[in-house]
Amino acid sequence: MTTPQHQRQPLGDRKSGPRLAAALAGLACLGCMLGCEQPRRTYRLPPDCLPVRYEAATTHATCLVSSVVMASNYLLGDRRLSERGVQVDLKRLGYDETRVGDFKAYLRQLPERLYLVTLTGQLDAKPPTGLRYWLEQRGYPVICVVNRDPAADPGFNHAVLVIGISKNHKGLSADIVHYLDPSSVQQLHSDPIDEFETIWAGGDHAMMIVCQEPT
Amino acid sequence: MPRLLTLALAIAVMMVLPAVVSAAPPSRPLPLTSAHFSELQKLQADDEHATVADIRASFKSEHEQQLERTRLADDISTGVMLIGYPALIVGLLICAAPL
Repeated sequence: MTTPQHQRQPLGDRKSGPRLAAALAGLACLGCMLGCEQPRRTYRLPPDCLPVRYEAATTHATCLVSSVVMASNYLLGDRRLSERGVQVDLKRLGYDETRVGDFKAYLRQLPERLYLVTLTGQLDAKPPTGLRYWLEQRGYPVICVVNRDPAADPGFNHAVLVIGISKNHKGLSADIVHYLDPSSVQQLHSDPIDEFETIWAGGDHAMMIVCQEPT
Repeated sequence: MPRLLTLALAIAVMMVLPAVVSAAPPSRPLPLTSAHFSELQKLQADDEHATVADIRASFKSEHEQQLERTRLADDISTGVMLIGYPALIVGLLICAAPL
């Protein structure tokens, strides 16, 4: 009596089938986990903008945390900090995650020798307080505090990360400011420079730059 | 010789022109020198810039703003109800007392 064709497979092949399936399933799970962990860029980077990796804010109060994390990771050239990790650290050390001064103190404690420069800035390229100076001449993304509330209630202060200013080729209007908004579904926002100036004025033209202390 | 010179000039123009037309930012942040860093530290201490350290960024979106208004309206109506009902009963009792 002869065995059917499908039963004549070698023993090793029978065992390797489930193993292969398990390995593929494992890889798929790993891919899903990594895919969930890594923030994805959902926008096309405009010309002359810094390629900063986006970090979303998980709550409305952690916009400053995310902005500092994005700027720090860009400076370090690697995703060393995460919004969640920094948030946990800040709580553990008793810092306020919404206050600029607390971030200055927090960053100085990190082994990477990071330093938060805090200035009242303007849109021009005049060093060292010009937004364009830091973006175009020094290559640093700039954290700006903006406020869209008509009464500029400080409760509505919001931290965003400016990554570039480009010429407006579409119309006759002024240049366009590109910034990453950690609390928005639309990650990249592009506002005409006069509109950005209005909302930045609501945040008292506060700007921050994450840099490394010279050795 | 003039051909060579023209060619060299053309190559130089081709290399310089893109940099002039589009002043792209540096590919990596330029490190700060010690002098630059200490200058920045001094500048931050000025009154004009020192206030930035006290700024808080606790963003509330339009949605949050709307929720706050709703919460405030709810608080007011609850307060009115809490005070209003006992006041109404007490008022009725006072009015009904002579009867």
